[in-house]
Parts: sequence; C-alpha cells; structure tokens
Amino acid sequence: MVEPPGTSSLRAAPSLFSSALRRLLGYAAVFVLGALVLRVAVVPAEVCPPVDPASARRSLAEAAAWLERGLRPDGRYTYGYDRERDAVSEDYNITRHAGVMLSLYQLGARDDAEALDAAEHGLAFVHANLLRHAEWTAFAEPGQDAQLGASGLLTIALVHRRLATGDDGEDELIRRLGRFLAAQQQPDGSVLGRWSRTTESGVPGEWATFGTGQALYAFALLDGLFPGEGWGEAARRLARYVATRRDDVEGYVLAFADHWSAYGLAELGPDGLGGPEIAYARALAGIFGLNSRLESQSGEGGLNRIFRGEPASGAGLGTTVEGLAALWRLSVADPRLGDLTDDLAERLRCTAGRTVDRQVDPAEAEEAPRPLLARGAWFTEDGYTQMDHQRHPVSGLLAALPVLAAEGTR
Amino acid sequence: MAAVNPCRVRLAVPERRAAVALGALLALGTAAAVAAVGGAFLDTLDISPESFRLAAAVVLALEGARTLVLPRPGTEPELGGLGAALVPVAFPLLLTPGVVALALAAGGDEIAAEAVGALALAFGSVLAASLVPRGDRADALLAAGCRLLGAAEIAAGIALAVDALRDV
Repeated sequence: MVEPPGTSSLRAAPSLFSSALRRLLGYAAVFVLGALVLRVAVVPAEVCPPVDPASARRSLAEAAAWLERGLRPDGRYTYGYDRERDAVSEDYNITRHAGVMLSLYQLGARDDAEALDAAEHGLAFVHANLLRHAEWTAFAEPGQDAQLGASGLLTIALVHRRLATGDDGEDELIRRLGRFLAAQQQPDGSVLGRWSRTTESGVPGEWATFGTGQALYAFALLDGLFPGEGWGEAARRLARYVATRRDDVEGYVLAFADHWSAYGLAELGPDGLGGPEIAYARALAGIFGLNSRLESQSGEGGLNRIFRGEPASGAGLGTTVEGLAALWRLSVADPRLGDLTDDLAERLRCTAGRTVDRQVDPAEAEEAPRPLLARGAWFTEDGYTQMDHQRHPVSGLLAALPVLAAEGTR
Repeated sequence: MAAVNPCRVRLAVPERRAAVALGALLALGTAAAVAAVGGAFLDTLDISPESFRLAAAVVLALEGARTLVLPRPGTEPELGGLGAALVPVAFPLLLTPGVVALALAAGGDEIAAEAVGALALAFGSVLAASLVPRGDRADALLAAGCRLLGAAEIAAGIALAVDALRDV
C-alpha cells in the first residue's frame, strides 16, 4: 500500500518529541540525583543555632562553675569524667591546669569573684611544680622534663592574672618563665618543645604543636606588660617563623587551626605584623572558617555523622571560637584584614551558637550518675568530658561577646 | 568557557544556525535566572556560598573528567525547526551541570552580573564554533580541543575548591 505524501513526517514528529522528552527526563533525573548526592556528601545544611550575649554568658557561667566545683585541696582541678562508667579521671596534665587558670583569670577580669578565687587556688599547685634553672623557671612536675607548652600557657595565665588583679606579686615568676621560653628560642625564631633534665638543654628537632603558638602569645603579652625588655623582638621573630617556615620545618602537610598563634598575632597588633604575618593570618582565618562550616554541617547521627565524622568536642568548639575571635579582633584593628571582619563575625556567631547549644543543661545533667559533673559540660560521643572541654568554651565565649553584642544592635 | 566547552557543543549541535543562536539565548536567559535566585536558593537550603563553591568544584571536576574520557558527545535527539533551540541546544548541550552549578555559585557570591557576562562570551564562542564546517579533520581537531577544555575544566574545579577551602 502506498502512503499519502507527508504521512511519514507526521509519524516521525511525535516520536522525535517523545524521544527528546525521554532524553530530557533522563538528564533531569541525573541532575536531581547528582544534586542529592552533593547535598548529602558535600553541602549538607549548615545549622547555626541562634545565640545572644545573655545565653552566651549563661553558658560560660555554667562551664566556669564546672571548673570551680572541681577545685581540690592541693590546687588541682577535676581533670575528666566518664559518665558512661561514672568514673572520675585520675590523670592530670599541667598544661591544661594552666589553661584552666587562664580561663578563670579571664573571668576574674570581669569581676567574677568565684572564678578569681578558684584561679588563685590553682597557684598552689603551680608553686609546688616549678623547675628553677639558672636565670629561668619552668612549669614542670618533679622528675619530668620541662615542656614548652606548660610554661607558655602558665606565662599567659599569670599575665592575665596581673591584668585582672593588678597584683605584681608574681612578676618575677612571669619574667623567669619568659626567660625559659626565650632560652628555648632558636636563631631561626623557632622554639624547642622540650627541655631535658638529663642533658640540661633543649631537645633539638623537637617542637610542640601548640606550644609554639603559646610561646608566641606569651612573648606578645610579656611585651605589653614589660615593654622594652626584649620580649617584643622575640615575639616578632617567632611570628615570622610561624608565618613563613613552621609548617615546612615542623613537618605539617596541612596547615592546622592554631588558635594560639591567632591570639599571638592579635596581641602583636598591626604594628607588629609584616606582610608574611598578615598573609598567614588570612590563611588561618580560612582554616578556622572551614572548620566552622564543617562543624556546622556535622550531626550526631545519620548521614551527617557518616560524612562529617564525630562532632567537635567542647575543646574543638571552644578553640574554633577563640581562633575566630582573635582574628576578628585583628581584622578590626588592621585594615589589611578588614575585608574579613564580617565573614569572621558570621562564622564566630555560628560556632558560638553551636557551642552553647551542645552544652549539657541542668535538666539533662540530672540523667547522669553525678549531675554536678555533667552540668555545664560538653561530652564526646563516648560520654567523656575533660577540663579543657569546658575551659576553651569559657575563653571562646568570653571573646565572642563583643561580636554577639554587635549583632544585637544591627 | 571550559564548562561550556564550545568544541564539544560543535560536535553535537544541529546544523541550523538560527536554532543554535536561539538556543544560546535561551540558555543565557535560564542561567541568568538561576544566578539571580542563587543567593536565595542557597539561603533556603542553609548552604553558605563558600561551601557551595566546593560543590560546584566537584561538578566541574567530574564533568571535565567525563569530557577527557568521552570527548565526542553522543547523538542527541533534535526537535524540529526552531524547537532544536530548546532540545538539544539549550538542554542539554549548553545548560550542563557545570554551567548550572557555576550560575548558582555566582548568585550566592553576589556576582551574578559578572557570571552572566562571562557566559554570554562563552555562548558567543559556541556560535562562532558553529561556523566551523564539519569533516573528519575538523572533527578530530574539535575532539582534541574538547579534551583540552575538559582538562581546563578540571583545573578550574581544583582552583575553585582551593578558593572555597581558603575562604572564611
């Protein structure tokens, strides 16, 4: 049978359209599936609980109370608590002891008498664990080598004590601790991480991950407290080393979120920072920003847990807030970083909100075997908390208050 | 330019210049609309612009890798007459996942106008490429150009990812 002219093209048109439609639907399906995979694995929702100065103050007050309740007769604080096993940790770490004192002195500077009292009691443990050698003193337990971080953090804590109380009774100890840090500093500006009692010298080629940044902050604070005594030069040499060589020399493949260096750079201020230090500060801001975003995407279960891992501990949250806050302060003071101010504030508010949100409140604490060891704390997934899980959020939320207050006036 | 890949488009685009031009306009308009709502879209999904740039980087890298492996696109069905402007020119040749992701990212970063300008240039290059007469030699050159742009797309994805990771 012969078909009338045009019939074949009429039959072809619907099949072309349906073929194109099928193809389009196929592409749409690929788009949607791809978008879902990206949503789950790469860009899950970033959840930033609201936070204001009042809720931040309540949170840090609860955390400070946890630290204060843990004060012991010998001047030590409760180190850690496992609520799953209802076990108080018998470990101790003198660097973290100094860190707790720092946070309590920072609160003391804001007229928190209980925090100040608890910090002062911690001095008893400090004075029982000092290593005196030549012109310097280090914070070290008997028989233990002197670690850079312990002395660096104690120096920082005692300077903050001086600022909070005005009492110059520990000035000689502060200077001697500073001289220990200076004795560890090498010609290239780096600082060795450990001094050996056996060899009575710094251990070559050994550095402290956070001790370097702690020494930087300590030197900068010392220069502010005792100007003209050479601490500023030590700080600037160390800052230049951290900004330009530390990662290569100390073997860091990936730059890490060094909140202590952030503190140090902010304390040095615009006049103390050259181009390399500003570039490093900018890179550090990016690291903290990334940490903040990743943390805001994390969750305690489900796919977020799979793709983002365990949510940050209280210490992780607190150090992120501390780092962001220090860099925010620097960005406000230094026009070279002024373009970062708003973004830093936004990340800071988000992480501060998550920090406050994840703290154990009084109602939740009642479910723990020892409610007073749970209230005000941040626990890891396996039910453990430690002094630095509380003290870092205290310091971080304190530093975040100006940003949170500014948000309220916008 | 790498995300649009004019060489790859030339290998699949119909030999109807009016449809190609109209399709480019349609694609540009669609991309502009996507960029215009990109910021609000990301806000609704609680995605920061920096994080979405990372997602766009992944899309670019995957797309570039696919182009390296399969530089010559498959045969696409064509609607008749000017309908080809819609299928296959606008969809799927020009509005690739990479182009859509970049448009969204530009919206989130509040640089929609710049992005649309760049896309206009890229789509213009598609129009220019449509003037290249097909043939064995021309197709081989186009395929080589396709691979080169695919590699460039991967590099662009990596650069975008690094930028996203470094941003606050």
